[in-house]
Amino acid sequence: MTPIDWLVLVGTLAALVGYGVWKGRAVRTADAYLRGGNDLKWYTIGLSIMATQASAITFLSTPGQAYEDGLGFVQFYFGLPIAMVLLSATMLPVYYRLRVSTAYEYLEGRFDRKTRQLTAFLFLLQRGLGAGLSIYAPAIILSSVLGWPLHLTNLLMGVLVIIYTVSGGTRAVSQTQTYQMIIMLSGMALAFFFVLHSLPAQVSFGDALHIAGTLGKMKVVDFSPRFDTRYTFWSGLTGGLFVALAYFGTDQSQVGRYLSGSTLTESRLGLLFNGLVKVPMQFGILLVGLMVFVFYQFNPPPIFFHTAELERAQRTEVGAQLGSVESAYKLQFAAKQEQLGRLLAARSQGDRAAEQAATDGLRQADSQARALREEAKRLIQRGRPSAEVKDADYIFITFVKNHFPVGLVGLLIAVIFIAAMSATASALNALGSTTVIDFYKRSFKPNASDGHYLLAGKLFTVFWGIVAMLFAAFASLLDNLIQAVNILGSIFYGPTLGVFLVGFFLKRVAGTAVFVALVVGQLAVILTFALTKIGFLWYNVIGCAAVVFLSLLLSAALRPARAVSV
Amino acid sequence: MANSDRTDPPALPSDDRPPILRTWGQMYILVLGSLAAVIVLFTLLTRAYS
Repeated sequence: MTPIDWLVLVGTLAALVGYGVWKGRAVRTADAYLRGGNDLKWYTIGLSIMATQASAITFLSTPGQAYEDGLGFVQFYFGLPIAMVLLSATMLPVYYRLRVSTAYEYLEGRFDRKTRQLTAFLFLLQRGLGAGLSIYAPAIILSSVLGWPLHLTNLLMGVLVIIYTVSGGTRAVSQTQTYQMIIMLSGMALAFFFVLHSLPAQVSFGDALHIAGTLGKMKVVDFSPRFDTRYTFWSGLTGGLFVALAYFGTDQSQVGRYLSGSTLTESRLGLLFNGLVKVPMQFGILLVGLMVFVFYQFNPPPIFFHTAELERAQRTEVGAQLGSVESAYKLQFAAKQEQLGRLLAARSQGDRAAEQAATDGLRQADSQARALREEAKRLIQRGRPSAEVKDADYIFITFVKNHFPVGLVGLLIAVIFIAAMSATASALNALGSTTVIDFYKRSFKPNASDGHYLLAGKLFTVFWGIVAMLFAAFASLLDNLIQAVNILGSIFYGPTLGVFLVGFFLKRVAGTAVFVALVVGQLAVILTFALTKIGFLWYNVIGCAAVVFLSLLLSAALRPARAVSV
Repeated sequence: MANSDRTDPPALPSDDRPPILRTWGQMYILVLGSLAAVIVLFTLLTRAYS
């Protein structure tokens, strides 16, 4: 990085942290700290919701996903707008009427204290570990690409987040996220225009899409009812809806964002804004990755994007073989160039037969290049069995580092830091609020002063920040980070969603039945994880269904007994 | 115990109206309609380039 990139990176981060601290200076009550003072407008809520969901991995992995598999990943978000409508129409009005501070507080009114605190405890467990991963995942990629020590990137991200989250609580987090989201989206928009500008002069946007489509990256919507394809229209609509309902409806890091609205109307508008913007936004990020893919059709890509890992493998006994595969990959790139030239010429001349011949040639050359890339991955794995051979997360950051102009490199790395900070800040804020409201105030110190709860909120936020950083320090023991994040969420989301669905829609089920169902349902999911090979996305369904079914069963079993005892 | 009995919350304030369109139902149709429009657009994109 050049001094200008450093200036942009440090300046952007310092400005945002400074803004968060400055906004937090006016927070002097526990209500403002823990609930945000309930005066936020819909656009702040909407952007804050989006910033909470957009972690650094969103900006690192999503373009890489488009590079590898095309635009089909956008289908995963098809259920989200439906979830926003359902939450606005059902759960949100109830949260507002009851004036709850956390989602779990509702459960005490509906069921009992033990159900509230068990659900809140499961949230603390899951989100506490998740916050550690949301610091660690981008830290390891940035440290690898920039050559910084891992502990430094972990510490830097953790400390920056703790500073402004602790100083201003919910209010500072939400208001800072507004600007964070604007910077993130501006950064990605600039990236898109830069990649487009970097394509050869004779290649239009339409040509770029045509090349991507020729190489199988333009299947945006897949209506086939196949279960072996991860992203289809149907899985996006059903599975995506399920995940979005659980995440936005029951996870305090999101519920806390929209409960800080000044009115129900503002909160509803914030949620619906997210429903309107999220799918196009994800499509835009994928489109950046797609253009990076097209860029690398005209510019030689590395055979493996995690270059630090590649260099380590080159120093092992497979180094010579890797060298010859790399040479073959370069030759194959030249062959692809020839076919691409023919394809573009045939398109401009309207020669259909020549276009078809060039298309076939290009596909064959691309298939051979991909085979060589897979061969390189196999060799890396053989040379270093502990190596992570999935390099999709490194594609976009490698492109940024090697091809972006001075200044924009610093801005895009700032975007990744900011994304990590925004997701972690919401998590720490929610962890601190839930600890104070659902445990400390409810069970240990119910009648303390407002200042006491304000101080407790700050201290618990620091505590969770330290827990997250400590977990991040040990996260290298996990094999696959993204999978770890997803598995962790899937283990806990299903049973929790089940409790809330019973609460909202099965009015005859009471506290003890749902509590026992939650314990059994959660254990069932943990056992499913430990003893079976069922895909982790199904944990959500299993956990939710188990809680709903068992609640009904236990409720029916307990009711006659109670009637007799009364 | 019968905790479900104490869950019926007070009514919403009557001024809970969306700033645009007449009802929240119309707002929801707007969001779902936009989703449908985006999916149609993506389908056309798939057919044109895939």
